[in-house]
Amino acid sequence: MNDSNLDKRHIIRIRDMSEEFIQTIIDETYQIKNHPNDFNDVLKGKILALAFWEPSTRTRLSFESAMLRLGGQTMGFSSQSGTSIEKGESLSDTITMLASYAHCIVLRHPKRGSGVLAAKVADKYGVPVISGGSGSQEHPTQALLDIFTIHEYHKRLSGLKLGIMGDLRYSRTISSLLYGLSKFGKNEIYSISHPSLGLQEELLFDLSETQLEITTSASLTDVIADLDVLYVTRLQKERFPDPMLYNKVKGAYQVQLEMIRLAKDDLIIMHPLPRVDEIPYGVDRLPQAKYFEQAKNGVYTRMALLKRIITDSKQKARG
Amino acid sequence: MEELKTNEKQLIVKKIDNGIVIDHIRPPGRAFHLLKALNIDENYPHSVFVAINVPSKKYGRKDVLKIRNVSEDLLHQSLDVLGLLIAGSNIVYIENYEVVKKEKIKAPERAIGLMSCPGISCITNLREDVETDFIILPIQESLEGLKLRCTYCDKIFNVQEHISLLL
Repeated sequence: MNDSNLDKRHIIRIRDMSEEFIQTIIDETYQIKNHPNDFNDVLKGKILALAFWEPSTRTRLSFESAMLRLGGQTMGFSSQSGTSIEKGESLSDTITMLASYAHCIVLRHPKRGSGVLAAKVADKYGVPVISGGSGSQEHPTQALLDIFTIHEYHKRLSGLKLGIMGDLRYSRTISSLLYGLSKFGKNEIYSISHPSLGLQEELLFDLSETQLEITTSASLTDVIADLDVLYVTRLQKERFPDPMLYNKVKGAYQVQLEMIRLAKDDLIIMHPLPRVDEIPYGVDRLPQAKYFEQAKNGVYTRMALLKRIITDSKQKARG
Repeated sequence: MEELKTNEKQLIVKKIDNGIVIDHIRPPGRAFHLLKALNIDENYPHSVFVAINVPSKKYGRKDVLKIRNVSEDLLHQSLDVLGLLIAGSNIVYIENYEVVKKEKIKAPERAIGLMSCPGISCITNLREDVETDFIILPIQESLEGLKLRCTYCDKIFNVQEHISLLL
């Protein structure tokens, strides 16, 4: 976050995390997934505020499930409707208030930089902030569960070939995933997207100094046979200047059943969900389809993270 | 007393008695932004000479500013903005028509509260009680200008392309 004075428990950008911290969360997630009942009371008496300015199903509910499974409680809102935000209350004021109501705040906000601002505000009250997505910028906890899922199936986080397909420009999950993987050495990334939806310049600038090798591929068919991971994101109609263009190109970024026949047996297909029609339902029945297991891992990963963030002393957590 | 003076072939700006000279200002036209950064306008009580698009052997064209009796306090308050605009140029201090000091204008390490963020979805552009904060990327000072990165939204941009966002 470029501000070394802030509490290191804030989870705003995976770019700020060390490899050791991510590895610790992975290790803890395995423990929790294998022995979920051993952690029932870890956060008893603690309150998690869920402050969601934008719609969310998985992120919000998996945080809620994670907190409840750890013995804690949750409070919050899932849209601006019915809150003082509708009356024009600022993010800073809302976070100031929540910091006196809860032991940790999960924030989803449509603006880039919202997590940084919230962390700076909540820092004054000693309350850690976890970003649940800040505009198109980052979604660090999604990346943690994605990285855990990749590790779970491939038992390694380097030497992998990943295909990323769909809207790569506005996808915060893609940005965070690549930042996260860049901490683990050499991996090959094949990006497949419409030219107007390629990776963000800022991301490419940062990744140019890492061992991640990024190649643009014209189509999934060209690379599917080599991939260890295929990560698909949803094309959003509103990102295209012309709806006709969306209808014209969307088929090029859909997974087809016959393509998967060319893939390796241990390929895993991932998607942050929700999906629309970029992965047809028929793919769900293939052994390579792991997106629902990936979503399930969101609960265990967030349990590991909450346990670490809420119980650890200040400055220690992110390492 | 300074004045503009012409002879048959050229226009000459006389030396100033006390004040500063900023030479080699690029790109041409930037001198107006420097005046704004220094908060100097028609109400400034002393003479100001602005030369725009002056031929330069080294750069082709440049601007030159001569400002009489500028206060050092004012100047130092504005050094960070000047650093964003013309890092690498010199401020020459004049006393009694003599050069007494030359100071190279350096790019600041951080630009805090100096300009708005060009990131259209940056939280700092909402109605929030927050100062903008940019890191200056370690790229050579050049005619193309410095590159800044917003510590909030991560937007990377060339300051020369967003001069109008200076506060």
